[in-house]
Amino acid sequence: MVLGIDVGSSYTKGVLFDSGIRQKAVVKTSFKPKQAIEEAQNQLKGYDRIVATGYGRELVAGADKTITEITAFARGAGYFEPSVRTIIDIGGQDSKIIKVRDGRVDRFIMNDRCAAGTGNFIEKIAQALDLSLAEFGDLAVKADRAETIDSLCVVMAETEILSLVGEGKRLEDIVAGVCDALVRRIDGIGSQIGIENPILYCGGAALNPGLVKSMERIFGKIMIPEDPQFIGAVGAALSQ
Amino acid sequence: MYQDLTPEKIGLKEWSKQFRMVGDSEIKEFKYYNNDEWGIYLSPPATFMVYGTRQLKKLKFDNSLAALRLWGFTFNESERLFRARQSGKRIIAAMGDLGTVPVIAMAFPDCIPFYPDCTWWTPFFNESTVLLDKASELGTPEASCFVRSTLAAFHKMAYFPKPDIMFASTGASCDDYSCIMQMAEEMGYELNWLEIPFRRQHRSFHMSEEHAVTDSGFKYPKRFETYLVNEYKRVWRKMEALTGTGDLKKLNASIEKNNRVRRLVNDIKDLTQTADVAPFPALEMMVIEFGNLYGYADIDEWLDILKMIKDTVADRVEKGIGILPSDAVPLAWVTPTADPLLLNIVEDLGGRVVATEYVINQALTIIEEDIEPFQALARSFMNASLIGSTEERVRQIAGSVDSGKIAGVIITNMLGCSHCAMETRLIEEKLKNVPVLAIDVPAPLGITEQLKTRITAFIEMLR
Repeated sequence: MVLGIDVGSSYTKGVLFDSGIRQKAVVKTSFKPKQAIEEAQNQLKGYDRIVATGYGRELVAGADKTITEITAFARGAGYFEPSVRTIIDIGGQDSKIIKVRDGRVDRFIMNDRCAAGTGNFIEKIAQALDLSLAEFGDLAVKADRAETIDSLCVVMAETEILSLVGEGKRLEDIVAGVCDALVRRIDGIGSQIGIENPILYCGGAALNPGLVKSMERIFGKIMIPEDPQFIGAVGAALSQ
Repeated sequence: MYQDLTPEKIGLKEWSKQFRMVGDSEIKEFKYYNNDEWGIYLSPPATFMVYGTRQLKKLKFDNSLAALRLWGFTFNESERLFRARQSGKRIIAAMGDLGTVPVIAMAFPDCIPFYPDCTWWTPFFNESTVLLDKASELGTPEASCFVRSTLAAFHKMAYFPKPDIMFASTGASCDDYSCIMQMAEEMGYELNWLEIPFRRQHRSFHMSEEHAVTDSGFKYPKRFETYLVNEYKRVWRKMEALTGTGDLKKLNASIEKNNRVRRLVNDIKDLTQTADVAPFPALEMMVIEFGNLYGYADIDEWLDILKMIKDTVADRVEKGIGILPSDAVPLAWVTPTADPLLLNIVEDLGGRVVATEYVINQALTIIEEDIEPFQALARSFMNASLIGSTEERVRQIAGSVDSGKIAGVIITNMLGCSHCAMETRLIEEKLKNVPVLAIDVPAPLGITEQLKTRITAFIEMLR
């Protein structure tokens, strides 16, 4: 039995894997990755090997192997959807667009220098609007039309959004516009390597219905695996 | 007599420990300017950390005596230049031309050429933004690259002595650097500008236009070569005026000596890049390549060091031993790294640099010895990748990549470097047959875990 563990900046995800997922665990990382790792390991017992991935992969004591999240996502995506050509992951501190062929990385690009293309963008705007992430996602799917948010910078976007609120625009349309702004940014970054169908949208942000809607608006049909946040952990386990 | 141990890369502490095995006779044997009294430079790298080269505590070095000599010599350059001044030698600043003015300067007695613009590396080696901050304070543009630290060095005058004469190239040269040098001129430094022509393609419809050809087969108008010859003759006359001497036979001798350096460096590169196991680290190899520009202000000692390195590398190649695992992923590196630590990191993460294009290829070109010396210098310099179109540079890079030995290409993008911003994307687009990773070199101390993840993922992908 292999423990695949993906130590992300927002959540630490673990799976016990033996020809399939046997057990799963999600723990909030919250700037305490070591504690989160320990907690995930306590929840998932009975493994004889550990493969770690994610930004905190080097902190996993006793890991038999570490791989980057790029490689892990490609392997994991191949397990869930073998036909996939492009993987999009909007993470807490970076976003990744990975082109895959036969379950292996073909090309990849990351946005890790600016919050504008990461999940952090949504978190900051949700905070400014005094919404939880769940409320934010639920509101976005109720939009009649997504407002246009031009600013890519979090600070500038916040100002733009507040002025839209001041103009009396519907909150649902504003948050949908925020989701579209983030996905357009992802599209812009991805165009450097060419986004090809079928697209698999994964990572914890794939649980946000507002972002899923925006993905569909901008990319058309997308695939979302059953357990989108466990792709990295499964990919790690498969890389033993 | 010190015996090299099994090749590996070691840190500062290990070198300090290992240094105890270096005999007094060896320490005395290696000296700059052949001076017994104060020319000794062999010391453990930790010595230079004490003087402010803080990054040394993070770097890993080759454990051979040849590498120890290389590091001791290169880090000793500042002291060497001040000693040169004390002992009555003339200090010649050559800037921006990258590899030709020093050949001319070395033809004059007791003239020591050096590159103030090599202060580019200092913020990284010193892990300090002091020079960059000072440059900003002095009014350098926000969007200029790390070469702006040179202006601060001219202001502080602590990194090298005031040169007796300064030559600075302009025209088809780095624009950030030209701007910085203009500002140095405003500070009161007298610059002798040397104009470099842009190497455009020879146009066949200009029937009367004679053409010349670079080593890679690119045709350009021959009159550019003639123009450069006149510029170099101007440098020669300035040097004659400074020294009161001038013997063209000595220029031929200087060309011959610099060719010896270039041949040795080419040999070391060939040995290192084609061996089954990497015999010498990428970081030391970059230091060697840059030494081609001016012999680190003592070409005779530099020649001797290169011979020792070549022997060490050849011995390792023969024995099939080296400093990286045999399955390290072969990579080409395009544009200098700025932060030396990147080369260590790439090797630690499983890569091996087997081809480089550090924009100093002209200094690897052998200067013809059987034609008029100024023409030979001009012809050699016209090979420079920096003075032509991006397309031509890409063609040169693609040529080396097509050898089939390279699994991937890493391109470094310098923060604020204008041609990097434009060229990197074009290079990426043209290199269709090989995966490319473009990384932005952050400011000193700016290497993040995300950057390491990107390099690791790239190497994982290539595996």
